[in-house]
Amino acid sequence: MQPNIIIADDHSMVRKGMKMLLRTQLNCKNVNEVSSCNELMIELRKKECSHLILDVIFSDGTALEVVPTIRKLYPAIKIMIFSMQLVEVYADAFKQYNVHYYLSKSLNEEKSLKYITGFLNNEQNHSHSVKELHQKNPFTILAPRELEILHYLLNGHHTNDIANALNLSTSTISTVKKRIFEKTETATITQLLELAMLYNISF
Amino acid sequence: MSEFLVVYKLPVVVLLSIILFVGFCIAINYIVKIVIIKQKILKLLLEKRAREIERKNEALERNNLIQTRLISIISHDIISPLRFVHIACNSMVDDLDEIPKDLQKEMLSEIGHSAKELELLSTNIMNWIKYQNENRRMIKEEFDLSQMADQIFGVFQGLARQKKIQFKNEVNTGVVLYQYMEPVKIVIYNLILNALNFTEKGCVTISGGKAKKGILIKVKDDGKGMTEQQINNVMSDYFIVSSANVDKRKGNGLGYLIIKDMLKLVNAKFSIKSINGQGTMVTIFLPS
Repeated sequence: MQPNIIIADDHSMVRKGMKMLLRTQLNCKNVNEVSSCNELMIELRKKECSHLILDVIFSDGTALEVVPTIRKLYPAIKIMIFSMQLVEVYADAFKQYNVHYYLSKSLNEEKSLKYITGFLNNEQNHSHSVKELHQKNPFTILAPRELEILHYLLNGHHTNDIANALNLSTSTISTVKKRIFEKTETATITQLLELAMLYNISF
Repeated sequence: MSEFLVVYKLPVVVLLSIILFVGFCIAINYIVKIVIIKQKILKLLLEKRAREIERKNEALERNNLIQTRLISIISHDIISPLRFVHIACNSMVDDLDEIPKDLQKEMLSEIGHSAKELELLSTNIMNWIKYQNENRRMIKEEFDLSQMADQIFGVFQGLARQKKIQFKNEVNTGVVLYQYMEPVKIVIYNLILNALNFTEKGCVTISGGKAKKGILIKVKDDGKGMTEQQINNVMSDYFIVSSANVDKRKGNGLGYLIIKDMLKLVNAKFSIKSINGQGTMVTIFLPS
């Protein structure tokens, strides 16, 4: 059976390149593209989807915000995160949402194809996840919600804006913000930004 | 004589000591005053220095933030598209015969499009870095605004044709500026790039003419427009990061950052007027 694949990524070159790989190397015919969280939700409502290849950062939010909703509405969809973001920082967060496939965009082509094949064949064995050399990263210990809010903090948003964007109370945001500072041992946004730059957290 | 001394000794001593005491007090008073004045001067100097350091610190901090932002832009908007240009090309070279014509065409046009975007972005990053050095030497020169507008439109012609957007150059003929040429060009370049990015159909128009005490340049588009908050963000001094999102286009905020830096160099002011859904007009005033 042909999988119905959606690629969600905000760069059209990345989507097209991925589509090309899927069509030529893995012979997948049904590949759709979306470029934002919003479009993704619309596409999911319209068409059937078996496999979702999902970037982390979009212009209108992050994958951390949409994955719980997708899990609730479409529990059967298989999800693979495909991102420049570091595996060691984000993969654990996504595991908590029952997303076990995490492919780094910087992995070489051959290994990537093998990994994607495993994903499309619904292999239950996630243990063949790619072992790579990781740097110790102070952001690894952040919980999903904290990573979600970290993204907005690094982008210079104020507590009120974040509360509005995520539909949460300002006190929740303040608490999480405090926890992020504690866990990363920083005191100001500037320090947090510097640390993020040093440890390759993009935003 | 000795009687006189005996009689007057006491008052004389008293008088002398009073005089001495008063003199001493005046001297002390004087010294204290001098010290106080000196202290005040020192305090003022110190405050001035502190302000200077604070200002420099702020500038450094801002530069640091911008650098962080640039690194993020380079990683997200340059490195990852380039990787996929490479991947797509490789896989096309390997299995060209098996790839249907329509997919081939789709890929090639995407690669071309990416190349153009990368060129524009890299140009802008270079523009910004070039003018960060405070000791740069610049020379003012005379140039024709209308010619400059034509030249910049030329750079974007391909993109505009693809999006079926029309360029209109309505600059009054004979508007000659005496200014640092490149910063003005970079500003107009970025304004047109923004207009193009956020417009789906219609025109991008540049107009310009002499005003009372300088020259006015206007860049207008028929695009999505900006919200009041977006405008405030852009105008704010502390704005360093991504402008809010407009549908598919994600502004990285670099454009206005550069525009503001360049306008400072030429002492210009700018304002933004926008009606949501009906377009944006940016006005620049260059004092002569």
